[in-house]
Amino acid sequence: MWPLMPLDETAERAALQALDNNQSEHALRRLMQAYGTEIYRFCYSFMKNRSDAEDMLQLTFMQAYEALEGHSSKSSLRAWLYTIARNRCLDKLKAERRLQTRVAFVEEPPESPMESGDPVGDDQLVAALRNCLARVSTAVRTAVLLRFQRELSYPEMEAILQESAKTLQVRVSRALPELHRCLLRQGISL
Amino acid sequence: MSRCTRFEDEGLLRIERGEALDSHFDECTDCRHAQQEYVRLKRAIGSLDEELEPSPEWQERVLDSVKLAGATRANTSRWWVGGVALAASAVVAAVLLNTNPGRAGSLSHELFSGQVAYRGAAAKPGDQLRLQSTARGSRYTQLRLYRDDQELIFSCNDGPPCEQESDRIFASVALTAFGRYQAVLLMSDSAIPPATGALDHDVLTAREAGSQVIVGESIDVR
Repeated sequence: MWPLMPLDETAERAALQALDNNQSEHALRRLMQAYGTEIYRFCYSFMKNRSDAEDMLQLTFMQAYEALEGHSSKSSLRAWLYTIARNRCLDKLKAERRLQTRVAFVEEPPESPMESGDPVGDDQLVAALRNCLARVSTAVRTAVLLRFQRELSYPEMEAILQESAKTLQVRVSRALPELHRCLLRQGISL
Repeated sequence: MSRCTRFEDEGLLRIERGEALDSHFDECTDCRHAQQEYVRLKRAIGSLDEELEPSPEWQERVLDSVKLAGATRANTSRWWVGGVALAASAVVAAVLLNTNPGRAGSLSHELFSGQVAYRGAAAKPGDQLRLQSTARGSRYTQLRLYRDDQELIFSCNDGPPCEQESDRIFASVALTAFGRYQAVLLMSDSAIPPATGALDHDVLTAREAGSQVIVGESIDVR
């Protein structure tokens, strides 16, 4: 199995305790340490460049800080951060699309078919997979990455993406064959 | 004989739903092979972008900005209507943090119906839009508001409806007409190209001239 990225319960507890003690800045620090990198990678999956991903990462935690005191402890802080990050990334993409309507969000990289039957290393697979993920819609890419890269459960994804778990399950299970076929077109057999 | 595709058609969804697979998937060679392929695919997805890390100083930038926003809010509450409900906290609409720590900007808005502030990006005709921006480390700054991407409502930094206080600019305007309103903050160390009224053109021209541009959340008046 690939490495799990579970909820950091220690960080969640520490952040909630800091909030109870009116130490919002301390809570913010704990959350940035625990979830900063994964939220950054999540933002990168939307923005497709490091600079914008980092802007969105910072914006996410700034907005989280503004709203930390009103956070309901019923939902995980991690899922809540993902929700903020998703909304900020989508806002940014919408603004960019309005301003640069002639530039597609995803610049489709050219397919570079390899000789079928060649042994496929992990690097080649990852490169081809990145290429294939760039070709699917943002909604599909986000669902697939949250599920298999971030290891989120469907209830968590439901809260973040504001779509039903059933819809997301279908989307993910349909995306996998699509990605598989895309890999095959590039000469990658799993 | 054609290949069995039941694992792709049915098995993948069952797994995502957390349901058990029936004996067919163990007995069918094609399905067993497909299961192995998808395990590898999922593992590959899981390993994507593992090397990606934000810059080491990002947390400090967030903390700096949080402190800056706190100071801005304290001053804003004095500048704006004193009797406004305290529950109406500022909505951070757009913030851009440049990798150059010397330059940072933010742009946020509040909407008011009478004396009552509310969150969101939808307003009614007659509501008041209050913008606040911070531009640190820039020689030239302009706050603009456009309607429907084609009409410039204002562009200012110190004259009405703008009011400048240190590195902050505030503006307040009534949203009298239907349409989509878009606030823009421009920051530059050289003169900012004048506004023509066409949002896309103005933003692209300003960017080409080296300005840093923050586009706020759009507000629909309907």
